Amino acid sequence: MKYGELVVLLVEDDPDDVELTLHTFAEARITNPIYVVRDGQEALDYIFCRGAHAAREAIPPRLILLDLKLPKIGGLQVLQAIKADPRTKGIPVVILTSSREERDLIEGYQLGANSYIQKPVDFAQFQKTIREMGSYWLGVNQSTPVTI
Amino acid sequence: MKNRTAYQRIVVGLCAAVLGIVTLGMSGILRLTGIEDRARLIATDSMPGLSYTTQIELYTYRKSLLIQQHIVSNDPAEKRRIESQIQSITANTSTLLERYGNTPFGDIERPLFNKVIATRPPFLAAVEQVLRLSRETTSAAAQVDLQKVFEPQSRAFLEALHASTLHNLGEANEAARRIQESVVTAKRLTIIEALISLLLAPISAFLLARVVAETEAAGQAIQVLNRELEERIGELTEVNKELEAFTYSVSHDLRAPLRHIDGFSKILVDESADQLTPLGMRAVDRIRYGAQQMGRMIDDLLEFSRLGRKDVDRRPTNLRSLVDETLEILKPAMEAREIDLRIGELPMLECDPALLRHVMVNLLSNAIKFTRDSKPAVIEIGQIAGKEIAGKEITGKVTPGKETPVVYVRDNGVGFDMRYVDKLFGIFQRLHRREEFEGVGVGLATVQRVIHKHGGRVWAESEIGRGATFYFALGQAPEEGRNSEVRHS
Repeated sequence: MKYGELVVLLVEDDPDDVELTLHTFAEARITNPIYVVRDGQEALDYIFCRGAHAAREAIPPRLILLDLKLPKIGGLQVLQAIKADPRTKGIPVVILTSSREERDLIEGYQLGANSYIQKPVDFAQFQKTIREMGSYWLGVNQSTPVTI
Repeated sequence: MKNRTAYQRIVVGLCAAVLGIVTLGMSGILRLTGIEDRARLIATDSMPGLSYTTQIELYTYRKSLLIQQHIVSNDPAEKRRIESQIQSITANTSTLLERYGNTPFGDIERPLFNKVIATRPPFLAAVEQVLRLSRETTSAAAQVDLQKVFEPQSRAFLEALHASTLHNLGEANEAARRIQESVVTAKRLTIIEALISLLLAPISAFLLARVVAETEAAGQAIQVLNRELEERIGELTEVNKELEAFTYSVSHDLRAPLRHIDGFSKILVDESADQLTPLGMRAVDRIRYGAQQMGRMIDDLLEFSRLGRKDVDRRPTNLRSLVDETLEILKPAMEAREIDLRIGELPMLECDPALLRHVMVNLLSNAIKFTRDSKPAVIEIGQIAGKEIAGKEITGKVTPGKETPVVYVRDNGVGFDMRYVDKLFGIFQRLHRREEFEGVGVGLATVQRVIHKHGGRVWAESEIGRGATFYFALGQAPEEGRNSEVRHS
């Protein structure tokens, strides 16, 4: 198994959220390498090996954690681009967001999100959620092999 | 035609009406003139009796002349010719008299006619006698005598005829005069009627025009109001959209710093617990509690706002099933509790079940929460069929036909002070200290909002330490159908 096959892509603009998420991952003993991108544009560049990531080895991430409210290109648009492309369609995308708006939930699932997690205010709850999510998507779940 | 204003239509209609009135009046006058002409005819020569008697009179004069010729003539051939003429006149007279006898008689005319009939035979006898004598007489003296013999009977008959003629003439004149009078009166009336109509038409046109103008003005005012209303609705929709965008942003942005506060506080406790003093630990604990409480408030507020924006989708709903579902949801809160649930008969409601579930969840969770210290806790759910609630008259509150039955949720919990009942349904209003009972104070505001969206009312009664009762009644669904509730924001 190559290194790239283990990468978890975290698409998150808020540095505090990035820090808390990474802390939680570490605490939950999720050993996968985590690559952080800070906006929708960068996320698409990484996923499709474009721009600054053109030289990247074309191995898709194992899992994408996607915030919805992102600078430049919104999370739902990123999701749409991923799910519209047959090469990336199979990558599991977990929406990880503050929003509890029904329309985001509905649209997220309609665009093909594999999971939707609302970040709770209670950090203990968040830790529990991340642990469960990690163990499912990175442990229990068998992903489809993907190549870009 | 369609583009004409109502005013123009009224003017056209009135013109047509005036034209009709004038035409009718004219034809009436023409017809009356016809009657007048006929009356004139009657006055001159159409009276049947008159025509008979004047004719017979004429015949009789001619007969008298013929008899005198007969007397003075000495030519037997001429005498015979005269006799035959006399006979034909007599026959004609008989025919005329017969016809005259068949005409209708007035009270005065009858005896006059009888006199004519009575005087005729002596006259005819006299004529016969004179003619007989005249045939043989040739001397002038005898002729004069003969004339004297004939004269009285002739005069008697003629006088009788003339009396009848005069009478009939008088009658005819009188009748004609009366007809003429009537016709003149009728003519005048018709003219007056036409004049009045002509006068009234413009007045009524004017009045109608005014009514129409007022109606049109009112219509225009309504149109203006409608336009304004549409503009307001447009503005409201705009404001509503802004509000939605705002709540969306609140939901996302406001919760993020709270998550950070709670997250880093927890990390602080997890990583540095041993370096924190007890007061420090307590401070972090309160920081986390505050952040989480604010998170709950934001979530509840967003839910409250979402409910406010939701359209009411009314459908027949079995309240009993809704209550059962609600109790299933609240099962965790009832665990390890001894609660005496008394569910009475509940109505079918025409309501939005998703919205009403919020009402039941809030009312029942409140009842469960505030009976925490009651042993045993008693929670009653029921409906009020009559006009009394716990002995209290509620006339004026229940409006049959406009409202559904009153549903109540009663508990034997801590209750509240009725002095603060006005604050009960306000947002973030709490009647109990936070350390006594948890909550952010949105539940009853949500209840009230949902009930109001159904055109209904909600109210409460309580006494400290003796439980509380919450009542609600929904407004009946509008006739024309569902989904027509006004949006509240």
